[in-house]
Amino acid sequence: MLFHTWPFLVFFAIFYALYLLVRGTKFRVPLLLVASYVFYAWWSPRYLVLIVFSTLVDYFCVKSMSRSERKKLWLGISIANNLALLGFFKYGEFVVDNVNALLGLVNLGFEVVEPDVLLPVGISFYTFQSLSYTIDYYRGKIDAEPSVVRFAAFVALFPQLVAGPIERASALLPQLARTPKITLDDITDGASLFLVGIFKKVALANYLALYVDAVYAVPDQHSSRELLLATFFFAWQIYFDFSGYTDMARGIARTMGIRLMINFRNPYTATDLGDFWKRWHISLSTWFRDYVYVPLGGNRGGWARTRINIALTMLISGLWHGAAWTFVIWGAIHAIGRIATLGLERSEAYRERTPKILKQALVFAFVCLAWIFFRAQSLDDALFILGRIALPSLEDPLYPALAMSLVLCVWAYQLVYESFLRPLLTLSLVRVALVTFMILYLVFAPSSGDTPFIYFQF
Amino acid sequence: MENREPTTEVNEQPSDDFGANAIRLNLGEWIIVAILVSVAVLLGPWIWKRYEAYEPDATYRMPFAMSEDYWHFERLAEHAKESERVFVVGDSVVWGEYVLPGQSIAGQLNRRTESERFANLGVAGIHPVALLGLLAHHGEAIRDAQVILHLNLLWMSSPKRDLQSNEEFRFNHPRLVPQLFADLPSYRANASERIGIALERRIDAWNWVRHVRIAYFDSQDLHHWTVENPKSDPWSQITFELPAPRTELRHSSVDWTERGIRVQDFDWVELDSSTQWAAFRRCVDVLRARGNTLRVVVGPLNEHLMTDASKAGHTKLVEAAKAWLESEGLPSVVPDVLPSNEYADASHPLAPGYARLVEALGWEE
Repeated sequence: MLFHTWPFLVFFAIFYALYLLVRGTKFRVPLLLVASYVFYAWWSPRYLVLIVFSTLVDYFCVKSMSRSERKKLWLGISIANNLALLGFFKYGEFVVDNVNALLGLVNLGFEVVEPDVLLPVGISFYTFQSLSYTIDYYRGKIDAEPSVVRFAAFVALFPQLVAGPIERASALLPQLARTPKITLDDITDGASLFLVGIFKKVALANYLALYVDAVYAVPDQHSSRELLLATFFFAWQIYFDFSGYTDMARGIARTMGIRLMINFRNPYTATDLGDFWKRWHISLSTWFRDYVYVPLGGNRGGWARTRINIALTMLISGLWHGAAWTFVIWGAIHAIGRIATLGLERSEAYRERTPKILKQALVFAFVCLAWIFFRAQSLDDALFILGRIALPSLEDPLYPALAMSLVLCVWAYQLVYESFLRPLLTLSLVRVALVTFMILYLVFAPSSGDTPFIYFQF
Repeated sequence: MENREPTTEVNEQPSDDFGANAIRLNLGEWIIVAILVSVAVLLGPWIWKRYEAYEPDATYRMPFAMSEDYWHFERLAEHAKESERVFVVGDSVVWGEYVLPGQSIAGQLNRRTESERFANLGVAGIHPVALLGLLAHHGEAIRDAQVILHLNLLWMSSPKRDLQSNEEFRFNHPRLVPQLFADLPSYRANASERIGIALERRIDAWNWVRHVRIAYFDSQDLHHWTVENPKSDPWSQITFELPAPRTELRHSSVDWTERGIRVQDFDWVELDSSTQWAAFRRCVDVLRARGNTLRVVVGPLNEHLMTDASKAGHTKLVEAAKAWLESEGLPSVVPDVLPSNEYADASHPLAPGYARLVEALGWEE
């Protein structure tokens, strides 16, 4: 069930009426859980078993930790279980492909059979969310959740179940434990967030996808400039797609009196790569920081160790996004970029004397370069695209000017928002005009497609 | 809490930030937006009608490319109603698949009566289940008028055409078939499409948007159109001039034998169990409930291309249909089968066939 489709609207209308009815009663959390499972089962009911299994294992691991001296053992079981689920369902095929490629090299004459499984939607998100609970408990940062129903609702909360933001138990469980206050502002704010999200997805991301998909499907049939444009459009497509989902998730949750963390802060206005990662998929970046980078030693082990930790974290982050070498390379490019510019970012010449717009342009160009590997269908395609872009042609690229205008308008809006001119955007007239435009555009311009979100595949 | 380890502290409290933009409206502002959007959505189609050139002549029929433009059908029906014309309703047999507009049933009737009384409301490819949707949701203007309703039994010539097949296939006018509470096994649209279509029928602005797309953007939405026509300016497409109906024939004017069509065996469905027949009967109910005076024309199908067994099945169907029409007190005409060389295929006459058909109708002022 996608947020931008009619069945979700019907589902949410029924759910919300019931939610308001039972808000102050003991039925609120069970209702949330049932609704979340219905929402998830809409894709594939059989994968509901996985999420229930993962939930129960983590719940009982923490329960056992609280009663046992062998906390490490129970933590290990929880981590192993979550990683095993991820490993089998997400990386099984990738591992087998690579093992078979190696076996082929040494001519052993047999192949490992590929696991015939579909990737369960949202598995990377809910396993990470659930893992954070067991790790945080082990670290003594949170108490054990006494209610299995509330814990299950925390893992499966439908607005953020399939593509985040990846919430921490310390932030979400207390909200589920208390009766939410739903104010008029929550509803109007929720509607505002939802509208911006659906506009990003339907009016922008789906639009750009038409061009990007056509070009990236057959890169050898497109000119250097078209490939460059498609990469530029993809950078915005993935941003609109993912941040649009997050906006909708946050909007829906807010109408229920639940606050979800902000996940994107205009990442293409970042002035260095460190800044970019503080603005892009913030819930994942902070997850990797707290559960991978810091346990590896963070920046406490000296110059070389810090860089190694950054590299490892970025590589794992790349692999988290998808089971393919292109994603690992995407992570590696960011790692190299981040390591190479650490010193530069701190230098006075860069911080004080380089024009902000130039820094923003450089970061954006670097991020686009990395997106080529993220989007390309294979490593060969990515290298081909890079090669062709490096040898520019004089051909006039064919591209939809309307799409370009919309992207540039959004970019300009974000640059203004991040500048001293922000008060202009807070004028009532501007906000009402923008919202009216967005609604009318959604009514008149696009078809109501059911294009899924890009991050569902992760 | 136990087992604390030093970690880098993270702010894990829920962020109170609204978002990374200033698009945050309060209730009063939402009300203003609602008013502005409602005005645009309500006035848009109304204003459009005043600017879009539309002066149909006596032989006007929906341009073929606009067959799925139901907003335009509504407009055509409204115009015919204002001119107090007789509505000729049906599928491509009424529309005139192999003939020029003036040679269709309505065109020939106008010629025969030396008037402009008959309006061609035929829609290419519209089967009875879709026709029911068209009349119910877009045919409000067909009211208190005389209506000639054509029944094409070819839609009952196999379980597949009768939409009884369990196998999914693409049939004409899926947006007009029942979306939520009827069981058409061959129709497999997902829930989102079905709800969207059901809503679209009730919201005039969305029908109008479809009209704009069909009439000016090759039936595509703005996004697909701009991607496929990157050098063109979408604004310049909106000329407020509808595509003109074609003045030449869509197909060559030759009979079915020259077309290479062979004798066929039809797997007729029983009327009692036919989905299309049930829909046709409901079409009659809808039209009569709106105070229309109906005359039903049955066929005539091309029996020359049927095997003997098919012919017998067809005759049985015609008799059953006739019996029902009589039992309902509906005036009906069942013309004789036309000469073989006056058919273009299984159901469509050529121009001489239409002339003969209209004669059989025997319409007198």
